Amino acid sequence: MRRLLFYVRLWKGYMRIGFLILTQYPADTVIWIISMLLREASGFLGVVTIAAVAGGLGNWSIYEICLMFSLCAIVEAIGQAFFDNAWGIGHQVRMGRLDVMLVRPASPFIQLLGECFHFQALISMMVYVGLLVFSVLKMNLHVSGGMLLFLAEFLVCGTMINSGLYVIFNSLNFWLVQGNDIAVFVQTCREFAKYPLSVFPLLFRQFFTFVLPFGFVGYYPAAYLAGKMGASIVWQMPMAALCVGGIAFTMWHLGVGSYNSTGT
Amino acid sequence: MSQIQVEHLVKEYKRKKNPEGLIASAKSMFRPEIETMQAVDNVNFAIEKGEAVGYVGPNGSGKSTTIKMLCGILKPTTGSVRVNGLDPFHDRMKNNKNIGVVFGNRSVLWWDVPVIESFRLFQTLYEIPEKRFKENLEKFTEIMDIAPLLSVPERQLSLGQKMRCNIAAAFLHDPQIVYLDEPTIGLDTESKASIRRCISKINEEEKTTFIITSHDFQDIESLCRRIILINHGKIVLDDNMQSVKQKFNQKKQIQFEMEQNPWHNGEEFICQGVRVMGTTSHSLKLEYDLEQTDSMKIMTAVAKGSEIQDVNISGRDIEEIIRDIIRKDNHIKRSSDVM
Ligand SMILES: Nc1ncnc2c1ncn2[C@@H]1O[C@H](COP(=O)(O)OP(=O)(O)OP(=O)(O)O)[C@@H](O)[C@H]1O
Ligand SMILES: [Mg+2]
Repeated sequence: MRRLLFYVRLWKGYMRIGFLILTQYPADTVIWIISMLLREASGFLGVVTIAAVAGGLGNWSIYEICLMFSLCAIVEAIGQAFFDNAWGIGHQVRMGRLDVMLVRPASPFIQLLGECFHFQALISMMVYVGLLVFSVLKMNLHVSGGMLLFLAEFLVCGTMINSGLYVIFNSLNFWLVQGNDIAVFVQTCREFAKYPLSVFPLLFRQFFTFVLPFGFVGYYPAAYLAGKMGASIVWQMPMAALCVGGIAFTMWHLGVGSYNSTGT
Repeated sequence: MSQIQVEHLVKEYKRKKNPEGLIASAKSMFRPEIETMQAVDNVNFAIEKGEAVGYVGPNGSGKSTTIKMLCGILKPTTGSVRVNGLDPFHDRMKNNKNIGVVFGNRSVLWWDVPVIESFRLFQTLYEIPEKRFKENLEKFTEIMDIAPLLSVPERQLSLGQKMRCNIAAAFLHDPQIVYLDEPTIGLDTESKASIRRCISKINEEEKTTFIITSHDFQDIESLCRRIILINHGKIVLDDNMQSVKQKFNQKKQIQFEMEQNPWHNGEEFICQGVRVMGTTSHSLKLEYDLEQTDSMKIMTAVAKGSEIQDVNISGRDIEEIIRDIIRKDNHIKRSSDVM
């Protein structure tokens, strides 16, 4: 409990520094928001165009696709805001910057994440939340307490799965010199998760469920909300999140254990 | 038990052999040839609380590697390290509360924010009570003379200013042990002197243990009473500074300026334990062995032959002594390698 309070205070301290950095480079902030919106939207526009022309994809309507996309993008935005330094693992390891974190009395992982925030992502998240509300209204879904609870569960589990996968693959940098390439490849795979997985062959679907469970950051929860899937997702999602979290935790710890610093 | 106890410490680094030629490079992508090198090779020492130890050796001898194992960054390949009875690698968090580290070439501050903000975050990290933090902040800003720098972001500081802020940062949480890996690299003489003063003061007042690596022997000489010399990962010498000087400084040089040198182009100056190093018509340079003679005897002998105008006695300083020891050690190693 005391430990938890310590980390809450520490996290606040890191956020303060992150915020100070943000105010130092205001122009960067604007550019960053625009580029991130474009990055997410570019994949999306492709799907939507196809769906609009074909009047949907499989049995998915265009609004259902919008819903899926917004779920996917919200989770990514949260990851960018708070956990983006998972992408910095490679750099930190190669430059030996981990040395500094390892001599302080706090978890080096928390310190790593605290090094870099993109609060700007919270602004782009607003856009996606708007899209979410828009699609829910268009789909005439009944907004209930249960649905809000499910969304809250999704935010936690989805973020864990999404960012956890990034941590797993970026941790390869502890052993490989070009580990970043693999992580970028994984992120590219994630583009598929913006399509309704039901249109793909079974093997594909299984891959995005059991190997890279990106299905849980968009397709499955959207299918559940749209009434295309049973309630089993309610417990499957946390299971997947725990698995990914566990593997990410193990990978990181193994990595730190075999960390060899650099010559100084 | 000693505060720091190091036993049979070994660290091996694995390195891919760099292949020559494109084809060999391509082959090595799949089956790399790995060579291991022992950066630290069976090192033993014990350090008591309040000691100030100079850890010296030539480039690549394994100093930084040892320090990194002492503060828990690297896992020893074999052997053990105990700091206050803890294993710094496995009980890292606990150990980290009690240590301060200064890396001469790696800053612990945040690049984009004013230095004071970094210090504030250290307060949270090390859970320093507000009152204590204020006192320490005041004390070390004064000692390090960084008061005007506190509101400046690190990226706008000069190398030496950065270093001074980093050193102050290492002391904010009252560490029991402070590791300094080349703390004076790139500093001007004035800053070096003030850092030395500060470290000696803390060492005396707070009984903080110091382990310092540096290539500047003035640092070592003014700060440390004990010196550990490492070469090719092995400890060559671990002794008191004073006794090192005595043991290895048996020869001194003495130089005379005089009216007329009677031993120039004439008969040789002869005196037991003395070797002539050079003569001119007005000066005489001698080297003598402290065990066989002393400077008074030589001066008397010289004064008999001519009127002395000036005398200059010089011993080898610690830097030269160390250089000699390393040269001998390298020589021994090389000849035993051949055999
Ligand atoms: N991360 C690493 N990976 C592989 N080899 C390393 C690594 N760090 C150091 N070495 C090797 O280990 C040896 C000892 O390095 P170390 O950094 O401990 O030297 P040092 O005594 O600190 O030297 P210097 O005075 O130049 O700082 C060197 O030969 C170096 O090449
Ligand atoms: Mg070094």
